[in-house]
Amino acid sequence: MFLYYFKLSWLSIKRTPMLSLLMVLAIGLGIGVSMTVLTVNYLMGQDPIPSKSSELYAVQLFSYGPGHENSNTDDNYAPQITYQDAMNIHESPVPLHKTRSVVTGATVIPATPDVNPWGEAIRAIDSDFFTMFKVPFLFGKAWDVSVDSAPENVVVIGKEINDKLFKGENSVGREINLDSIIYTIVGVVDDWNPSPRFYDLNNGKFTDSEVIYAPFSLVPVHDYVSWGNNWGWKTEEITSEEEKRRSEIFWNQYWVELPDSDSVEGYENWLTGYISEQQKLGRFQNERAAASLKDVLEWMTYSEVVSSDNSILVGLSFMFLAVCMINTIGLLLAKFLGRASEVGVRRALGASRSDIFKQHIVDVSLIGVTGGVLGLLLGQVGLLGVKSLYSNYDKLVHMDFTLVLIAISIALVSSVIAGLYPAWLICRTAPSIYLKTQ
Amino acid sequence: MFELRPILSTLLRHKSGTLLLVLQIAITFSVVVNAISIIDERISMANHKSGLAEEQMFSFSMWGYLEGYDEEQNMRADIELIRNIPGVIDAVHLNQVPLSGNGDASGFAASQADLDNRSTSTAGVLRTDHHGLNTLGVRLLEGRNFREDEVVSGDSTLDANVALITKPLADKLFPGESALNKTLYAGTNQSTIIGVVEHMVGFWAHASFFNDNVIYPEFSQQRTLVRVETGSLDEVMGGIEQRLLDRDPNRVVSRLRTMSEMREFSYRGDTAMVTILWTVIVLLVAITGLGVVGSVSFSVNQRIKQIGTRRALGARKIDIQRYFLTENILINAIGLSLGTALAIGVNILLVDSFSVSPMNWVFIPVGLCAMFLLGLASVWFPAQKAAGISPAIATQSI
Repeated sequence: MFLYYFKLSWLSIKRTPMLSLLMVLAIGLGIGVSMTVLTVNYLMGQDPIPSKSSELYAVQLFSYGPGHENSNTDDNYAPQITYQDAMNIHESPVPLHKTRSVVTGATVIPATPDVNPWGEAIRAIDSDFFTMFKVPFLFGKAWDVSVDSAPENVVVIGKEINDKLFKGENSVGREINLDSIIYTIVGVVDDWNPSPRFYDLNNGKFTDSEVIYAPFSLVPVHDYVSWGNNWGWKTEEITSEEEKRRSEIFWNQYWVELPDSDSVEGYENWLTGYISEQQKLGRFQNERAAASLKDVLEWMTYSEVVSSDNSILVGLSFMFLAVCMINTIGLLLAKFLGRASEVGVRRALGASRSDIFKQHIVDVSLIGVTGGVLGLLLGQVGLLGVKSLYSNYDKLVHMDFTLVLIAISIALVSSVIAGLYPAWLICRTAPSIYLKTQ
Repeated sequence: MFELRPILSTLLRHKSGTLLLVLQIAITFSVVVNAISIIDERISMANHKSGLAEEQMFSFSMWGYLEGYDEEQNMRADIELIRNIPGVIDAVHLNQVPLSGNGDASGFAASQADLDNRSTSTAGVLRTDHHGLNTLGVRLLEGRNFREDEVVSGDSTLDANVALITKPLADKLFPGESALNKTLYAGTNQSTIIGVVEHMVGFWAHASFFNDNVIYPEFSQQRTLVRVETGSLDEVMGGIEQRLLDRDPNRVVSRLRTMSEMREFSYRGDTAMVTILWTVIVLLVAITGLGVVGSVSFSVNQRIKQIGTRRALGARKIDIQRYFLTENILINAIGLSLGTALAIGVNILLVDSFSVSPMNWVFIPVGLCAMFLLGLASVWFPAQKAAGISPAIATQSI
C-alpha cells in the first residue's frame, strides 16, 4: 500500500513540477538557514567535557573591599582571583583534585638554528590539571605532585611543538629552552583543544589551548608575568611581579573537582571558614564577601559563551523557518485542493478518508525529506560561509551525526505538520460535489 | 469600483489560504525590518572614525631573549633606526595599540573627593612619549604636546605628572569648562592636563568608553607603532623585521599588523552579522515573493473558467488584472498591518533581552513601501497571465 501511495505522490509531483520545486526549495532554505545557525550555536554551547562537567567547579571569591564590585558580571564577582587567594585555598584538603591556573608565555629558543625563536603562551598549572580535564598524553605523563610544592624546571609540551622541535619523536627527558631557562620535558600531550576553551573563558573563548604547560609553583621562581587579564579595584603601588603577587589584583584562576554533593558542601564550608580567617587579617571587608562555585556548564553560561548575536540569529532563523513552512502549507493547500476532483473520484470508488489522508501525508513526507536533504547541503554551504566570516570559528563549523539527524527530523516533522491541515481538509471532501461538476 | 465585494467574498471562501499569506507577509516584514535595523546599527558602529591616521600605520612587538638584553637602550636605538627609514613619518613605543583589542584602562576623577567616592569615569590608558601624537596622527584641540623632559621611564604611570585627555572624556570630567591645566586623579597619581585631543579611539571597539582616553608621557616598551607616508606602507612593513634583526639578531618580532587589519579584526563580528542578516533578508524576501507567485498562479489556474466567463460577459483585460492586483493589495495591507505590530513586538524583545538599540522608526514606512512594491511585483506576472485568458474558454466545457 505504501508503495502505491509513494507512486501516486511521485506522479503528483511530476504533474506539478514548479509547485513541488517551490516547496522543496522553501523547506530546503528554511532547514539550511536554521541548521547553519543552530550548528554554530550548538557547538558554541556544547558540553566540552560531558563525563565530568558537573564535578568540575570554577572557584570565585568576592574579595573586593567595601563599596567595590564587578559591574560586568551577573553576580558582581570577579571572574578571576588573586594570586594570594589561589595559594591559600590550595591548602584545602577537601577537593579530590585542584589546580591553580594562569596564562603566561615565553620565547621558545630552539636548539637547532634552522628554526627561529618565537613567542609562545604557557599555561602554568598544577599536576592535577591533566587528570581533572582529561588531557590525553602521547608520551610520558604529568610532573610529580611533589613539584607542585617544590618547584622544578619541568614542562609538558603539546604535540604541535613536539612535531616542530623533535620531529614527533618521544621527547620525554629531553630539554627545551624557554626564555634562556632550560626545562626538562616530562610529557607530551596529544591533540587537545576543547571548544569552548572552558578552563579559561576569560582570555579567549574559542582560542586554541596552549601547547606548553609548566608547574604553577614556578610562578614566583621565574616571575612569570600574566599574558591574560589583570583587573584590580584597590589603589596599590605595584612596581614588581613580587608586589603584584601580594596585591589584590585578579589574575589567576582556580578549578576544583568535587565528585559528590557532600564534598561540594564540605568545600563551601571550608571556603567560608577561609574567608572569615582572612577577614580577621583585614581582607574581604566587603559585606558581600563570599565564595561561589560554578560547574562547567554554569561557568559557560556565566561567561556568555554563546554570544547574544547568536541567540538573535537563532530566533530570526526560526522565524525564517516558520515563513518557509507557512509558505509550504499555502502551496500544499493549493496543490491538494486543485486535486479535489481526483480525490472525489477515488472516494466514490471506495477509498476511505484515512486512505486519502495517508496518501497525502506520504506526499508531503516525500517533499519534506527531499527538502531536508537539500537543506543539509545548503547548511554545509552556509557553514562554509560562516567560517569565512569569522576568524576563530574553525572549530564551530562542522556538522556531526546528531546535527544531521536533527536537520532531517526538523524537515520531516515540520513538513508533516505543514501537510496535516491540507491533508485533513482534502480528506473531508464530499465525493458528490466533484462528481457533479463533471 | 474596485470590485471589493466579490474579492472579499472570494477571500473569505478561501480563509485558510488568505490567512497563510497574511501570516507569511507579517512575519517576513517583522524579520526584515528588525534585521535592517540591526544591520544599520552594526554598519554605523564599524564605520566609527578612529581619529587616527589609520591608513598609514602598522605596529608590532619585539623583545630580546638573551639574558642581559638591555631593553631600554635597545628600544632607543631601534626607534632611531625606524625613524630614519625612508618613507617613515614617525615611530614610537607605546603600551598597547588603539583598536587592537589589548590595552589598559583605569578609573579617572576630576577631584580627590570624587576619586574617594568612586564616582570615576573609566577610560583607556595609552603610554607613549612626545612622538606619540605625531605618530598616531591625532589633532590637539587645546594645549600642547609633551616635552621630551616630561617623559618618564619604566612601566608605571605613577611617576607621570602631566597628561593628555580626549575631548569626550574632558567633557565628562569637566562639563562646561576647559579641562586645560586641571588636575586628573587616578589611583595615587595626580597629573596636570596639558592638552585636549580632539578625537582618538581606545583599545576595545565595543567598550562603552571607546572614545574616552588618557595619554601619559611614558617610555613604554610593549608595542611599536610606525606611521609612514601614504603608499610606502607595504615596503616599510615588509623590510622592517630584517632591518631590526640586522641590528641585533637575538630578538623576536611578532604581531606585525597594519592598523587596517586591526580595525577589520575588531569589527569582524559586526561585519559578519551584517552579511548573515543580508543573506537572511534576501532569501526570506525571495521565498515570500515566490510563494505569492505560486499561490496566485494556482488560483488563476483554478479560476480559468470564471475568468473566461467574465471576459465573455464584457470585462476588459485590465479589469481582470485589476481584480488580482486589488486582491493582493488587500492581503498585503492586512499582512503588513499585522507585520508592523509584530515588528515592534520583536524589537521590544530584542531590546529587552539582547542590548540591541531600539529600531529607528523610519525603517517601518520604508519597509512597508518596499514590501508593498514586492507584493505588487510578485502578483504582476500571474495577473498578466490571467488577463490573457481568452473569453472563448467560457464556452468550452473542460
